[in-house]
Amino acid sequence: MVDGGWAPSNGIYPSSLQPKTATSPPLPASITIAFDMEHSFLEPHGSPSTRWSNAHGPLIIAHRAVHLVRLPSNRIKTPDGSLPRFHPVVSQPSNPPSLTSQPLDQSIRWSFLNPVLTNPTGPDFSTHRNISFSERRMPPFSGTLPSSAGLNPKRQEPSIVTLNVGGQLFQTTPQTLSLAGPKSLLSSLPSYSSSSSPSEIPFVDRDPEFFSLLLSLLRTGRLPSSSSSAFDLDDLLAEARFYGLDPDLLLSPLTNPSLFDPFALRRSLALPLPGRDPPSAISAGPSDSLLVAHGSKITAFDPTLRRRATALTRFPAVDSLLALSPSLAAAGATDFPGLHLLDLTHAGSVARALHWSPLPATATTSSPAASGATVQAIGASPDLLFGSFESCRRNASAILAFDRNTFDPVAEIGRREIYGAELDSAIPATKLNWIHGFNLLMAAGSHGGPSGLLGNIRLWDMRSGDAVWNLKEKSDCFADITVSDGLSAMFKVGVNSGEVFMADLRKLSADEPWVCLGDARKAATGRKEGSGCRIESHGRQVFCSRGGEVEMWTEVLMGPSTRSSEDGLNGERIMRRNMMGRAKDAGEKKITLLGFGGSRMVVARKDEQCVEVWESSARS
Amino acid sequence: MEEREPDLNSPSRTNNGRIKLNVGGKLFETTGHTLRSGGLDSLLAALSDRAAEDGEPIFIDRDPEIFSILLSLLRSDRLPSTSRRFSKQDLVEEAQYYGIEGRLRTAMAPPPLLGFDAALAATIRPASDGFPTALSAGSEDGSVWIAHAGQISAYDWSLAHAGTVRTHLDQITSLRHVWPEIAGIGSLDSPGLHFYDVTSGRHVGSAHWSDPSDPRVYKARVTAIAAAAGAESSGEPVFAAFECPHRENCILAVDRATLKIAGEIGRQNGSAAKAAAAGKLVHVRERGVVFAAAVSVGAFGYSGYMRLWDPRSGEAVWETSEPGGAGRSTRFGDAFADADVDVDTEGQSAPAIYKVCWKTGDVGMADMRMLGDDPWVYLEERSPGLRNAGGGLNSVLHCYKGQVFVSREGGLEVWSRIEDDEEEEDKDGGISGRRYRRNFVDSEDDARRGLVKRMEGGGNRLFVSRERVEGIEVWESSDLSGAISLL
Repeated sequence: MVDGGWAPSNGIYPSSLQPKTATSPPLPASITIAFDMEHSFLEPHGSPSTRWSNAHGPLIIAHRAVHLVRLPSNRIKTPDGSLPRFHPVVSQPSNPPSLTSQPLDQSIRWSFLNPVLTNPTGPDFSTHRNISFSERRMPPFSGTLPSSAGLNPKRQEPSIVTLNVGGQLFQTTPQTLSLAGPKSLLSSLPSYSSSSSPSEIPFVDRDPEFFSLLLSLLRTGRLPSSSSSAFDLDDLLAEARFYGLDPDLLLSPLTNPSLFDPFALRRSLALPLPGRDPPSAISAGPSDSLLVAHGSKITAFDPTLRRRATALTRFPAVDSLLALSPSLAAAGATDFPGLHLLDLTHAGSVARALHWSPLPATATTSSPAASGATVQAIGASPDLLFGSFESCRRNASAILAFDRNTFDPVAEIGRREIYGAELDSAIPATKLNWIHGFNLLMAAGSHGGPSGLLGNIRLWDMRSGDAVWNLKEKSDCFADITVSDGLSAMFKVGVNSGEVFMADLRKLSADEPWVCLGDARKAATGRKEGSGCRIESHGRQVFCSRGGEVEMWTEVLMGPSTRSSEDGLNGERIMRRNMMGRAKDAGEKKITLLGFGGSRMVVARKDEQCVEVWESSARS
Repeated sequence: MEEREPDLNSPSRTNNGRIKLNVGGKLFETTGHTLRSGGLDSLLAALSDRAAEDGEPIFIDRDPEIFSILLSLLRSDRLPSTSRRFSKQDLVEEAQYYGIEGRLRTAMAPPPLLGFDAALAATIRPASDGFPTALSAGSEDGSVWIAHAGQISAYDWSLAHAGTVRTHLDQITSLRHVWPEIAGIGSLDSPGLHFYDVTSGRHVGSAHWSDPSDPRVYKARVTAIAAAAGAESSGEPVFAAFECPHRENCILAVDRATLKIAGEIGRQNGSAAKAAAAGKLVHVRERGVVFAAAVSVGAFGYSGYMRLWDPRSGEAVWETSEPGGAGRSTRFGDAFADADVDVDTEGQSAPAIYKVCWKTGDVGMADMRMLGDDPWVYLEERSPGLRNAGGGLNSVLHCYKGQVFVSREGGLEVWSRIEDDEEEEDKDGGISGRRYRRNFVDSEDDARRGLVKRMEGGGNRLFVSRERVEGIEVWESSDLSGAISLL
């Protein structure tokens, strides 16, 4: 039996315990299922030889709804003999209805067979192990499937594991269970069942409905669509926690950044916030959770956006916020000293307060209570946390870099102090963006002076502590600015023109780095069209809010042969504007904040006691 | 992980602990351990002991779907989302049948109340005479009694109507839990403190203030009752403030076990505002004192007193009267509109008296460890949007679990303490007013529903009644985001 290649199953579902619904449990993903269409065949019990002697009709293998394989009955041999050969006789695009419609019907008796085809003359089944009756269920899970070594017949583990979960029987393979991870309870079950007597079915005292969904997840890599309406994801998360399953298996289909489809984004959810303070900062974190600061509070939403927790900070109002890890957030305020690291798992208690010390002598005050610098902006690179500090007397500013693990200060860059009346000499940075592709920190700040808004933009090299590029903004200063790593460019909204400008990071030496993407003549009007606009980048897109609407700028990639001067393209990069949302979304209140995380866009609007979540509609 | 079944790794016990149930035709298999976790005296625990030797499933003729939810609750200690298919009432009744109501109650209990993260969870309205005249929250289970006109309506932990009692009083103005089923009630219209058994609806006792030597003491009515929560078994008495038609008043201690008068403290003649009958009584067990406060509104604003009585000696250990009073208050002339004591026994904060000033609306705090001539520390407003949030006219102040809820007209705000910060520690070690953050509990729409008249906290719920509004609002914190679909 071990050498034979056909390993009969230990048993089939007792009819009384068959799952009620056709969707659960689906057939195991990584085994082949053989049917006898003429006889109701393959005795599940008894010796292998009697079983095979009954199987004298043609066998049909359904294979991922693509191939139908006929087994000539005269080629089938006993398990201890040579292997059967498979001849694909039909190859059709859809499932044979006779197989799909009644895989669990009690009138058809069925059995699991483990194909170990060492020398097949037919199609190479070892690469097509994923067999299911339903095309929908099969999925792109190839990256994480175990290699075919898992089907090695010399392994001592049973090839099929039968589990009793809360009174329902489930059958699957050790390979499927091992996908749960080495520390999981599930991956330990096969060894348990093989070590004890074979008749002993491991029993788990948990809800079988949830288990069936989790098993589906392991088999196919995603949850069956029927689950989303009937169960909350956090039920499954709690259940996954019991089984020791990696929660990312459940969450990644929701929040994976690779699922971010900018053209499919649509307004899908409004998340109400407690109290009366409108949102003042948004950070969609690396853990796909969402943090929203409103007033002195920070509300953290979990990745499913179904649960939230609100923590009280010491700040009268939180002005800058950055999620560092699932449990840690950095927050700062322009009217309260210090950059606070908040432990979100402990009701937002301050894990550590980071300060600018020692302050420049001119910036200190006699009253110790009023000392301490406030935070104007927070940024982060993979290993550093940046804070833009301004002294409380507002006459000195600097950017401090802290280690992201120890939170010890590592460097202080760009210290500026005001002497005399040169107010412009120490404009604190109000936006810090790490440019990963260039290992540079973009720091930009602006200041309203008598001649209009003045700003400066610097790119800092953290290793040398020098500004490698410095631009003073005078004529059409930025209202907001961002860097797109994917596009290798900086983008700003001009405060006067309200137009979006692009500066290619690879051509920064030019005198005027900004290229207007819209109508450059608007700058001359002197109206403050761009005031209050927000600009953020995500992936290879740049999003700019304008009043109540969001426009998305995407690059049109032109092949080299299509570039011609007749088109007016002149070999420059082509960015195009797309208005987002539906017509019915127009006329909403002005957007005050934009944020991106995972596959979501988050928007806050003026005077709205909620944040709006835009999701890619690919799944619905 | 800790819930991992022990018999999973010990095959020898596998069959011993396992129990098959047939509930309404659906088969379930579980362990005796799980079934017994609902309580040893529950029906399920009894069934687990009686498990048939022959392996035949035990048949229970009940709905299998609700059972699967309750079984899930026993297994994982949380209510699955499928429970939304059934009403709260269905689940409660089914849990009562199986005898596992306690587990359901724990799973359905609201999370700790955070004033800055609370939302209106429910509104409960008595069927008739729905204007509440007094409230009393149950000790910790989230139940509440509402007095409305002459009736007391009881709502259980799931806020389901548990019964209504018609009392002999026509207008109940004071109501307190004396025992879990016994209510102490009083009325400003008719004399005496009365005790009713709320489950059976029977009058079980009454206490009257009598003094044969003094003809001024007759027909004394109850203006306030204090019964320390959770003190039923400790032998601590109930305190009630009585007032006679000629304003002679006192505070009587009533023994909980016998419902008879056990002592009299603080007799006053009621001739002045500072000798008026207390409108608010709080028994501060930790400090062994009874807090009494009276407020009256006249043409020139509010006036009133606060006093701490030592019930053993019958002496007032501290008092202040406003306006004026002892010491030179920094808010001279700005008398308090309402005051309450924070008797949070779980929190680390020391008991403190909080008041709200009627002119400025400022909230003051007096640490009960350091009461003196002017113990008041005023909580500082630091968030720019909330300064000038209004005065304290008609404000109601209620302390619950270290948080101070203050109503301003219809609006409801909360002062929450942030954790201790060495940098802000005052030199004298006192509590700084800067340690509090003020937030709105409600939205502007909520505030338009009417003037808040009463607040009462219990079981991580805040019960609010409003003027000329039937029923009471129940505010809870929730960890659900309440996302609204915009598609």
